[in-house]
Amino acid sequence: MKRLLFLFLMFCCFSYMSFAQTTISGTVTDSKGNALTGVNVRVKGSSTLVSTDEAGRYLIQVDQSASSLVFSFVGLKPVEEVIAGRNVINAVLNQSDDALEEVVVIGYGTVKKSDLTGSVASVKGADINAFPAANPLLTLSGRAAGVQVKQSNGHPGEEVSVRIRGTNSIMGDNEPLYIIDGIPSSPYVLNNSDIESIEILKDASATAIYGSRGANGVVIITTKQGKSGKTIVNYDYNFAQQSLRKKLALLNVREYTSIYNLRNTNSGLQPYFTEDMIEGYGHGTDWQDFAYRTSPMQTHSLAISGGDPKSLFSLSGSVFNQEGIIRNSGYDRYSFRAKFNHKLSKRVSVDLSSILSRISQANQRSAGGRLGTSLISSVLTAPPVIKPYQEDGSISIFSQIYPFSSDAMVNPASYIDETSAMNVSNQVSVNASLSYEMIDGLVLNIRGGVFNNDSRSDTYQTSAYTFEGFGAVATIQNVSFLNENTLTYSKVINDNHSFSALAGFTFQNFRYTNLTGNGRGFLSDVLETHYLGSARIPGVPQTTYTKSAIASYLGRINYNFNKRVLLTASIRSDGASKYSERNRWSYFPSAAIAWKIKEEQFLKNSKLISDLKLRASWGFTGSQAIEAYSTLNLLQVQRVAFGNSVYNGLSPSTSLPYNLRWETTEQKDIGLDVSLLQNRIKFNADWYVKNTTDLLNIVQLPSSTGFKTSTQNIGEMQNKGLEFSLDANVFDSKLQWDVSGNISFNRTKVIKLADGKDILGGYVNLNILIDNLVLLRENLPFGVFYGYLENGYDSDGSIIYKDLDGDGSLTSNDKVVLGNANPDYIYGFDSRLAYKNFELNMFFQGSQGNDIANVSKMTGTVEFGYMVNLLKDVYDNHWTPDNPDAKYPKIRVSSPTIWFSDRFIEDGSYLRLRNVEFAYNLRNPTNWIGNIRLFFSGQNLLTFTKYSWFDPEVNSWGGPNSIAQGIDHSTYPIAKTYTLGAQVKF
Amino acid sequence: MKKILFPSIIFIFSSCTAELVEAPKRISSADFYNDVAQAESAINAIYFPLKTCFSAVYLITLEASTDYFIARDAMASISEFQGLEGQNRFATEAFWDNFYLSIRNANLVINNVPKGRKLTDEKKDFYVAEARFLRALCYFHLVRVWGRLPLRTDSNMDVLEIPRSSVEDVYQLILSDLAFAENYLDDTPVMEGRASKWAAKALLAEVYFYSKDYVNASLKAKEIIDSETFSLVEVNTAADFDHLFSGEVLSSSEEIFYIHYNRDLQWVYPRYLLAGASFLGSGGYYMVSGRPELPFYLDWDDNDLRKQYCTFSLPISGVVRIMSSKFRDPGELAGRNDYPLHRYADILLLYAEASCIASNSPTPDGVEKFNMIKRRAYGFASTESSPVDVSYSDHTVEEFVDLVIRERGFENFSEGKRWFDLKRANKLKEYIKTARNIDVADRHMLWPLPSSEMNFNKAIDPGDQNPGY
Repeated sequence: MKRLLFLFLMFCCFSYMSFAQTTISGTVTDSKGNALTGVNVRVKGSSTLVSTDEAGRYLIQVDQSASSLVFSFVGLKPVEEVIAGRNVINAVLNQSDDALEEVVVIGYGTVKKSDLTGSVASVKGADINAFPAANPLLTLSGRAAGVQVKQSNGHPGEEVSVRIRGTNSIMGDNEPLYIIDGIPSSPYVLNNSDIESIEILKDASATAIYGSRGANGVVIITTKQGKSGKTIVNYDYNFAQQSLRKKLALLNVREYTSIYNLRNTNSGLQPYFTEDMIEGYGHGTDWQDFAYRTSPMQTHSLAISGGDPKSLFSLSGSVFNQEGIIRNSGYDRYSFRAKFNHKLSKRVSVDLSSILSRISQANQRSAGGRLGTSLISSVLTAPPVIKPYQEDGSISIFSQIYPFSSDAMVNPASYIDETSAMNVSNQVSVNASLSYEMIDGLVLNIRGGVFNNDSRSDTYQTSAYTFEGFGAVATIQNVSFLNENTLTYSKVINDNHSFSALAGFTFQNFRYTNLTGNGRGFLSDVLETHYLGSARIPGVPQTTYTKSAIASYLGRINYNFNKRVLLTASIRSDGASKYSERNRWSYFPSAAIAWKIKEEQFLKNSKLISDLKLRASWGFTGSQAIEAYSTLNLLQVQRVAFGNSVYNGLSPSTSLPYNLRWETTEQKDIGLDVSLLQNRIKFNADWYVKNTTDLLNIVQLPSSTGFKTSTQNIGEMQNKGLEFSLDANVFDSKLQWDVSGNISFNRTKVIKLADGKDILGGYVNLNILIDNLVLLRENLPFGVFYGYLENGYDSDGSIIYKDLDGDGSLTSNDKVVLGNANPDYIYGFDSRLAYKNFELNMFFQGSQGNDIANVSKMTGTVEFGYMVNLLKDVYDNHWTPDNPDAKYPKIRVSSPTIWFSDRFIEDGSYLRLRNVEFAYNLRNPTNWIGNIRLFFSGQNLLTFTKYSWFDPEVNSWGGPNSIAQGIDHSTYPIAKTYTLGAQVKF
Repeated sequence: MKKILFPSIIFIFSSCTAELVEAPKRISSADFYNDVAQAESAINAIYFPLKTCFSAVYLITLEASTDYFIARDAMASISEFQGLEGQNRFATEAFWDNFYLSIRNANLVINNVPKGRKLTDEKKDFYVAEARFLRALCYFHLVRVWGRLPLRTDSNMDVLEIPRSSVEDVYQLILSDLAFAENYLDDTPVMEGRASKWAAKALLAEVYFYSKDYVNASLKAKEIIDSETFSLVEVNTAADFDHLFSGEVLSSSEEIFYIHYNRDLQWVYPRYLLAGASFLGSGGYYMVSGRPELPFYLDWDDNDLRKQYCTFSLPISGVVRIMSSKFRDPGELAGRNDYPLHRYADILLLYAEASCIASNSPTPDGVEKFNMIKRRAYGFASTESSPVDVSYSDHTVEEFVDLVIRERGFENFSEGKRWFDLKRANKLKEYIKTARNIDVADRHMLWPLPSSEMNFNKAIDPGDQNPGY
């Protein structure tokens, strides 16, 4: 069969030859003598091309004028053999030590790394799989210049916020576009070990081809594909133990009772705790020990890949199971992936990529709040003198034990034992494509894809937690269909000119529906959310529906002049349903030029410089910052009570609809790529400036109109920055040492706001302190902290705030900029040391110069009314007549109003040993095992920071469109982890 | 192959671009207010912000400025009577927003319902009357809290920026709205909680009363009384006040216009008011509470069943507090109780005071109405003379007016009406000085206009804020 096929292929070759005169055959192998399949064999200077078969053999017809054959294969160094009358030419292809020949995936195509005109960062699969993590984004932190990964908290499965070259939008989504195997998808469906590479498109030359969705950068994730030849089986397993990284020093029973007796004395009341009571409390309760535990995390993944000259495949399945460091929290993902490629004929091939994922998440994400209105805040505020459970096993209710306690002080055990929130989603991402080479160099590609996410969440609060018990169920159906049709044409005209062109039409729609129901008052907690119909007070079921679509035309030309100058120009025209009719279509052009200086005569023979390239690019991208139907005046339902029934009211919303269009980002980038000493040292630098205009802005209306706001395209923002990255192979002998590092500086500045008016955000309400913490103001960085300055204490130990405008009272005019959540720079550093079979890898990552507004610490350091537990520091350093310059004010029952001031701003800089790994490689232990790698690693073991709370990597209110960055408000702490694992290759 | 591909691509092109036109499965405002069901839901939309507003913090903020309550914690500074600042000032913005949202929704009805294609003229007048009643209700609260107002009517809805009108102009609009409403509303409400012509008349009486037109106020009150549509709920023991105020009551003979809440949409105010789980399933925050030494409680007879029903004392951190227990609904998360905005008792007391001032002497009829309230408070039949009756000849005008104001304090305890009443009678400063030895700041007589108005309504000069803010 194979022979027949081979002959058929040969026949095909013949049929395209007009005047074949000589036949050359041979075998192509790698350096170890293994046959290479699928190697391109080309007659130099002509378009004649054949591929090697499974045994590495080829047959090619050449005319007599042909001088040499070129053998090429992805990832290997091409070889040119002079024919010189030979009929048999065998070739050996060596591993390419020249990484510049790597192929980089870009939008709607690939390009040789050396031919890149745009700014694209690549992260290899090995780095993504270096340590266990719930999703690939968590592993990107510090890996690529210009990419900031923000973990909002440490809850298992928590979504991660990624900013590429800063924040562009005030109201809109600032997250990049994620493309998996060619279609927009969710990065959370993947198992990390399925990833071959991640490309991060940063400048406009790279992103403009994604038009209205490219402004925040594009992250292209390519999953692993099989290679022709032997079938390979990989099995990875790791087991990790996670634990609380840092415990806060809080008051023990002695300190607690003593400070609150002092409080009463200070307030003219009798001390509450008698010596007998204090004795009776014993050691009391350490609520942090009660709430946090050591918990396991494990990953199994099995991947099988292989193929023959016509078909390639890769199959993998994985189980990721993470239990949180708080009971009843966790994250499980089961995923299955299949990738398949088949050549129907020389000109037609089909591709299929499918990912199925089931993700279930048990949430204990009750965060924020005041006193103990969230799990995390309750752990820190719960009095050490109370036991979690009463003698009869019931949960202690604080306000019943201490009358001066508050209903808002909830026992942490109530959250952990008596509330549950499960979310289960089934996600499918499938896409298939057909490629047809219509004539030589002209390829038509038709792709269809579907992304589907069905999820259901079940929330239940028992009658011990909330009055009568409360249950709610919500289901969400998200479906997106995609169709992409592209034509590409590549042509080498002669040695001096070659070009490729791309044109296409794409379409994608998004349909979102949901259904929710709830009820209060259940006869038994056994029912949980599974018999809502039995609720005493059933809630009203709710459904919503939105549908939006985007249609696009796109085109791109790459032109390569004399291998020295590369030009790229692209344009995309997007039409989106979300926008007003007359603003529906928009154009996003880009252009770039690269000069390969190394190819110039004066550098061609340089030993020092192995590559030198200068790049410049310019272009526009957009952001669809609004939700569907935002420009329509739709009526909202309100429910009103009359008699014993509920009736519906319908009225317009309080937001006045307006004609809206895209947010547009113009970006310029200049980059330099240098390689030295046979590519042992590689250096990249990029400078960029991004101006985003037509930013959607909330325009405030006089509230007496009944409309509070209107959204209009008004704002402007600027990001500019510098990025550097360096890779070096320090030792390359028995001892291998590779280091790499990157650093990025970005400055985000607000240029224009509606009417020049400030935008306040980050509203916090702790009763003792109610304020907006965050400010957007023209000509200031995005999202600065805004509050009052302190000026010591008055004679009674109350905080004095500076009355800066001198009007005698403290008003919002006395607020100043207190800090900046944006770092001066972020950086990453990786070291890989290998000696014989041993490896030692270390990966550091950090952020410098960013401030954190520590809302978590407000309750436990300045509020003494409800006898919450306090930081030990407060015990040691509070105001007394003898200690008038203390860190904390006088301890008393009711404090004067506390304002958001500089005391709550902390330096959030940190340097973190994100991963350290020691590994041992066992090569070919038996015939059937190729390699075993055993490793022991630790994550987040070392963190250097001055930040006082759990973790400097915190962003409680961060999110795709939040202006309140860098706020710590009682969130699930990030864990440290020890991992043991094995990777086996068969 | 090519023959199949290209036509199919062209087909995809055209069908895709058609999807760029939005087709939400929702109702748009472009074609609404046409039939009874639509008009009803547009009317309901006027009630919604009002119900939100009266549900909690607005009433607590009003009660924090009385001679019988002292607010605690974050609200404590209100009870210092030096004006509203900080979070309390910020909180008032939501009240303003809600009243004006109701007004916008009312203006939409007033503008659009008359164009309704499937509505009879009678129905159109009815809905416009209800909208105008509710608009008047909103303006009556707004004008007493904030003074001069930007007057948003059905004729200036498209204008974003308008200056403040005089208090007289606001009252003018209120009076004309109510004149229309009392003509076109029905005798009985469509259902419990909707407006009737009596609701409009009661509000009208109160508006006359507050604008010191005592003749019209007493006439209008008398019209309501004489109609015998309403009667007092009789009480024998303190617990009988449950028939008037508890969450179990759907409606009573005393209800003229209440803001209704029920099991599904509960009244949150009791939660802010009450303390302890014996009055409300979830307990309460007692954001305001009294002290035994306040003159109000010293003056309040322990035999007064209202005192027994409405108050209890509780020592907390060594301080004895008088807690309100008026709006109780044990076993519920928040209250199913209705907010008694206009009760028959209010009209009786209003009549007593207005008729006295109008006639420049207490009148037998007015004193009788006053006595009805007193009798009930002590468990006597309200219509038969009793040992607690006062005689009309015993008092001067001023003495009687003072008696009524005092009585209104007991009768409307915790009902969010005291600050308005004391301000109206020009007694606030005197009462607070006596009760708390605090001089009420002038700025405390009005609340500041919200920054959401001052900053974005360019027709209001930044200097035109209320005095002292």
